[in-house]
Amino acid sequence: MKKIIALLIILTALIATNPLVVFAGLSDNGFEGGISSGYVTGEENFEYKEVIFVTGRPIVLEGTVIIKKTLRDDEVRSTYTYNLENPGENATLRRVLNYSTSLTGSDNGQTLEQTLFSRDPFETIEIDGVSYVLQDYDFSRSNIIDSKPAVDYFAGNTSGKKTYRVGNNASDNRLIVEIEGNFFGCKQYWGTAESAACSLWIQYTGSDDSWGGTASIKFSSTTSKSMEYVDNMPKQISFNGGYIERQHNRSIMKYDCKLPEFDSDGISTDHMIEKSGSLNLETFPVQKRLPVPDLSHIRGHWAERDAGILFSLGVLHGEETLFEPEQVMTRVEFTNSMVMAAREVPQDPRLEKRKSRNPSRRNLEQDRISPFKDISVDHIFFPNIESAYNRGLIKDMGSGSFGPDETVTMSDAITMFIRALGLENMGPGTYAVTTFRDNDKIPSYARNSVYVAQKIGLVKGDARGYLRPGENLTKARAAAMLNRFLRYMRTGMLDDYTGIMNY
Amino acid sequence: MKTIGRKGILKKTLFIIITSMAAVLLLYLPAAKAERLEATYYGMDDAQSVLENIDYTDIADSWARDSIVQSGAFDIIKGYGEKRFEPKRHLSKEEAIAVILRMGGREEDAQRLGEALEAARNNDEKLESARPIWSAGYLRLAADGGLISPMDFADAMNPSQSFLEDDGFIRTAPARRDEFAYWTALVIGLQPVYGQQKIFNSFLDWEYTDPIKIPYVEAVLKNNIMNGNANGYLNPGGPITREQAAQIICNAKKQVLPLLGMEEKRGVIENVLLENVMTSGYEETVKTFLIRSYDGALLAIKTQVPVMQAANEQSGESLRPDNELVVLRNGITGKSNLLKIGDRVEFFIKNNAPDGRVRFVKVLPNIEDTRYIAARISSIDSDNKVVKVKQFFELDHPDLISGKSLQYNILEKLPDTSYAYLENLKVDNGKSIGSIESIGEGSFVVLTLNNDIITRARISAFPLYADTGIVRGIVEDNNPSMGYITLYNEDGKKPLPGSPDSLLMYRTFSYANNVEVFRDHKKTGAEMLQTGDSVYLKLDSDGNVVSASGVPNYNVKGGVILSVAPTFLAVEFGDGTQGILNIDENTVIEANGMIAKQDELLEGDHAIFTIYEGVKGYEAKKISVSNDNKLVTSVYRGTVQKAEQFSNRLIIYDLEKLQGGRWINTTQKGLNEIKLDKNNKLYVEGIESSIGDTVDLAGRTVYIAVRKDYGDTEKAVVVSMPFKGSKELLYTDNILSNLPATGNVSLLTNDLELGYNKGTIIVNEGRLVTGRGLAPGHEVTVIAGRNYKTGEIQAGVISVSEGSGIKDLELFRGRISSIVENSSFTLESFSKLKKTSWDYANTPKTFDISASTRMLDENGVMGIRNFKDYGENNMIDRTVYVAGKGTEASLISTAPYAAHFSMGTVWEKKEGELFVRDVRSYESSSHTWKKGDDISVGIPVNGIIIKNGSTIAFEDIGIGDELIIIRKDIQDNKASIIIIE
Repeated sequence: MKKIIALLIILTALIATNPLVVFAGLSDNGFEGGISSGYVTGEENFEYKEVIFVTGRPIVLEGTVIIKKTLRDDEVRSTYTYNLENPGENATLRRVLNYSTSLTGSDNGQTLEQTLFSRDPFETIEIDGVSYVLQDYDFSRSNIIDSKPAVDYFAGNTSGKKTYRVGNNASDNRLIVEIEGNFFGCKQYWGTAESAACSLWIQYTGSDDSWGGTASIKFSSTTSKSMEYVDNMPKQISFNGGYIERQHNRSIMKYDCKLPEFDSDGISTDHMIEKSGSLNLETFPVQKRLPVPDLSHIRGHWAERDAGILFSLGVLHGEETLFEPEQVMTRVEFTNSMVMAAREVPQDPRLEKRKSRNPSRRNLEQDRISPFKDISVDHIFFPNIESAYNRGLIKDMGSGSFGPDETVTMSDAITMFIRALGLENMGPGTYAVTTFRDNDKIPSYARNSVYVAQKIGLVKGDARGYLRPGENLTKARAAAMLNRFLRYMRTGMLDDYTGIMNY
Repeated sequence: MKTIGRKGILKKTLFIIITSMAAVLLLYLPAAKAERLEATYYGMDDAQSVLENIDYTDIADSWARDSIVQSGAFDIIKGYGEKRFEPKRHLSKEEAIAVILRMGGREEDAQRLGEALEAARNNDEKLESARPIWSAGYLRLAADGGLISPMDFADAMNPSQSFLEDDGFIRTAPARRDEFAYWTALVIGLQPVYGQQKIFNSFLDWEYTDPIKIPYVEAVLKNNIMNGNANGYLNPGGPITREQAAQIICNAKKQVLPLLGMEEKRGVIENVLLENVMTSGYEETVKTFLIRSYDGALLAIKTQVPVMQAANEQSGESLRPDNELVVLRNGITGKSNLLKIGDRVEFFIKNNAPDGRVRFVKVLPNIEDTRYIAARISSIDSDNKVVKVKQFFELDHPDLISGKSLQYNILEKLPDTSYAYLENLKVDNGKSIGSIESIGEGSFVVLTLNNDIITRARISAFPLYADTGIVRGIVEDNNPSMGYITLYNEDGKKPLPGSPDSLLMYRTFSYANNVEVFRDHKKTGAEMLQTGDSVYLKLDSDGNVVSASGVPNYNVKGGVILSVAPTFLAVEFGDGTQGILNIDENTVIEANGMIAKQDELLEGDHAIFTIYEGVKGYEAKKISVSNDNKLVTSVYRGTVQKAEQFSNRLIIYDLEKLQGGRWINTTQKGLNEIKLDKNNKLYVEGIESSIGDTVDLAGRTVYIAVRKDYGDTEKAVVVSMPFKGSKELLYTDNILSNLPATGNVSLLTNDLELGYNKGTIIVNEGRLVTGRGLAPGHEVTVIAGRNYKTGEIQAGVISVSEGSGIKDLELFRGRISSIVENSSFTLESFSKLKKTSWDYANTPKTFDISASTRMLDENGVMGIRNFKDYGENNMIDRTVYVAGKGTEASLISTAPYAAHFSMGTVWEKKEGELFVRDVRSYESSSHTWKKGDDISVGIPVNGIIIKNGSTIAFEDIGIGDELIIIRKDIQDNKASIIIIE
């Protein structure tokens, strides 16, 4: 535990240097089938949209959801307060839901989350003078979180059954909405994605009429950071153009429904109408200017842009004017860069445990023991090497040494990338066969990783289809690969989640 | 259960494989007596003189000692006499050329040429330079063969070598290393390598290489014939020493041997037989070396030495020379008596014939590297310190046995191999260290062998899966109709034919008669296992597959279809890469959640592809078309005010939308924003560009195709900029012909030929297509302009008109005579809508009604359950319109009688009213359309609106739509029926 706290402190220190942090989008949409604009630092009020089918027609409601969360031991208490309306339809919705989520760890590092109501739910909808009051709500949600060195993945299911009383207090008219849904997501430093598919079954039983219909809702939410290069307009300025990092939050939703047509008296007919629609919610991007490295000595080099981005983001370390693209990258340098590229998954700040400050960092340092005999605790990269070791990014090969000055081959780098992403399971189980022409030269320990990397578009090989797995990475090659890895984290991985709706 | 036929063939193959495997294993057994000799070779009569020539005294310290001896034995580099080789001496240019030509087997040619040249030399020359140039023949041959230029040759033959310029070809000057490489490459026939990598990547001083020679130097480097020194220097301009040359010759033996008419063999001496025979009256000792070659064949080398030496009485020369071998063993040269049983030898045969002569034999060092083998202990003989094991295969590392497993069926058939072990051998059983006796017979072990002596043993967890008869791997090929399945090696490498390992690891299995197959844990037939699947196979004691279980390893990618062919699709994936997807009868095709046929796939369709990405390309397993939010919804025209790269949008002035064959104002005045799609494409005058590259978009006219994204925001998928300043032309016409090869389309009525290019926005049913998607007969709206460079008319937008009109929907009117509730109803008699009239038929007509039949009455929608022949809603005797296909009624309406036909174009929609211009009314008396004033019409709640063969709602009528309006009369401001054309 001491080690973990030490690590947390180190990481907090790391994160503090870069205040623009993506936080969990997990459950910011709530569990009601709507979408929210997602978390922006310090906000509790989220823009929110939802489609309801209670009248037998899709009605889009817009407004806000206020989310409050607290963490107590292994339980998260959360309250979601919705205020929604659609003036055109003369519709309003008020809803307050209190959940309790219990967290259970398992031996394989996965966390099981189980969510139930902690207090009676409240919901009323008014549409054109008719009120729908929630009488009963059965709800259950469960998911697992699989934490990998640089990404948390989660997947789960929701099921719910809502019973509304339609009309006044004395009314016997009942509307039942049942929801079954699956959701999937990933969470990492550079972005988060969550997507879900729900199917709804809607059934009305009244004194005058009764009908049934279905609807399906798919939605996805992403927060991502993009990088844009801007040139300087004036020329007489001490640095070149630089990079802007922007954080975008975007939620999209698509619904399809099949509901009866209503006659001129508002009574259902047997004729079913199929309708579909989509909603979109975006936040105004938050942007941050990144420091501009001085790389004038490699102007025009293939790796100039890659190195520029990586120095701006702190992934490449050290004096940038001493960056020699054709120099071979050492294992310790590459590992340090990997830790900065595949950063630890940030915690939801709303769920941070209040910790008493440790007396001083000095005491902590004295407690530190290096996991490797050839990396001393005084090594400039020690904190990151230790973090890489603790997070499982690098392994002790049994000898107890790390080999800091050894070179890194293409195969090594790809293995580390896939380990960071935790996607080894995407391989075919046995040793994979890749389509690279030099497949047989890929060392067997790396073949599965290369297979996965090829599948997710992380490596492409050269124009003639060779991977050159044994090549020692120069700093230029390493920079290109690291930047490609970052691009994958920022877009490729997230796109796969939004692709569930439509690629 | 599926019965697999034709299994016998495979069994036979497997049998052959096992027998050949057994042959390999015989390596370790004494030679069988009756075994047939593959070939017999003989020694050389001149072995003695060759040995004398190569018995150098100054090469003991040379690192290239063996190569010097070998190249000497091949007569390629000769000594200087007196047993001197002078390994460090630089090779002169003429020597180098001579060496290289000998390497190419051209010695005789060169000598002949030399004699001819010498004969042709006139006496003056002979006077000038008394000695003939020994290398003349070689140099001439080099010049003829293009190794050196005619000028070089002239220089070389110049008697006054010391007066030549520095850059002249001084024949006695040292040869450069790059020169030597170049000549070597030419003579041994290496192809020059023009994409150099090795030289640039590996050597710091590559730029000193003569540029013309670089491709050849690269070729020589690539073939590992030459290399630089350990410090990364190639030293191309430096001299080449004689020992280096000797080494190079040996390095190039693969290429050189065929040129010399020689062949290399390797093997282990299994036995030596001695016998005395009588030949032509002499008694001779014949020594036969039986050699087991590495491919399993048994070879023999025979030498023949007279028992009594008979010498020529005058010269003392042997009358019958010894037929002997030239042998090199540990740096010592000698005859066949140097060879011993168990030696690993490499030997070279001249005349690759069964009775070839052995030119040179080299004993390979028996100091093997440490080897690790996986084995099962058969017996332990602790008295003699020998264990017998069944040896499976070698490992790269003693601790890494994952990724390899043994086929159950082979295990029992393996012969035993004996190994000696160290007296104090330590055995690691995973928990503690014990003695060899702690290993039980039958244990699975990983043995570390040094010089074939066991130095370490470890009991391994290996048997857990070796004993079960289960193999796993990835399917390389599955052919149940032939009865077999082939897997890739477990380590993912492709099986290498020929290597002993590949025999042990043979990966083709035949199916047993009844095989149980699971795919994705569902029971299925063997034919369902696909290339690329991860599978487990359970084998019976004969090695046949009795059960198989596999899961697919598919990849899922989104993309758009570029073209459709019978057996494949060309697609562009979401990441911008393109690929060919092979499709076959097993490919599942789905469109909007329903199974579809291949011919329903259209160019421009967006789909999710489930594919296997194999060595042979992409194989499509499933294609699921989903055009949701992907189809082009509108085409716009406007003038760019500015392009914003960061916000990824265009600000457009004067934005208009293409509708009904013309440009129509959009609602927002002034400037409009058009967001660019993530995968947008931008074309400037037909050339692909991007918003970042194109600086001067401002002020240009653009055509923009947009799709509707989530939340109904429009996003530009294609932005196309026509030729600057060209006047816009607009045609509504039909296509007469289309030539996609040249990018030309001709229009029927306008009698005009237009060009199109990549930048032309061609839209058909919302799909962006290429010119191939246009077909004769298509009704199109074309926006075009003149290319000011060629004068040709170029299309900017070609929009194929969407389906419209009544199509196969039929519209009837009649009086209801009877109703069978929720089932059918009958019209007493009916009129059917023809183009501009109602055709009356005096016969009853019955329609079926179902839950999906809609009913409209004066109040609007009426439930079909209320369509009854009794009660307050009694519909008997009501006159209704019925829209339907065949006898299926899709809509019943009580809208008022209407028989007056007008045509016109909608120019505005307001408060339930349509404002229509270009109105023409049909006069049934004259059968003509007559022009009239603009009108406004409303539609009653039970009015019928038809478009593209279906009924639609009022909201779906668009501005610019052309209508047929059917009303009571010309004054009526309510239209009972509207058909959108």
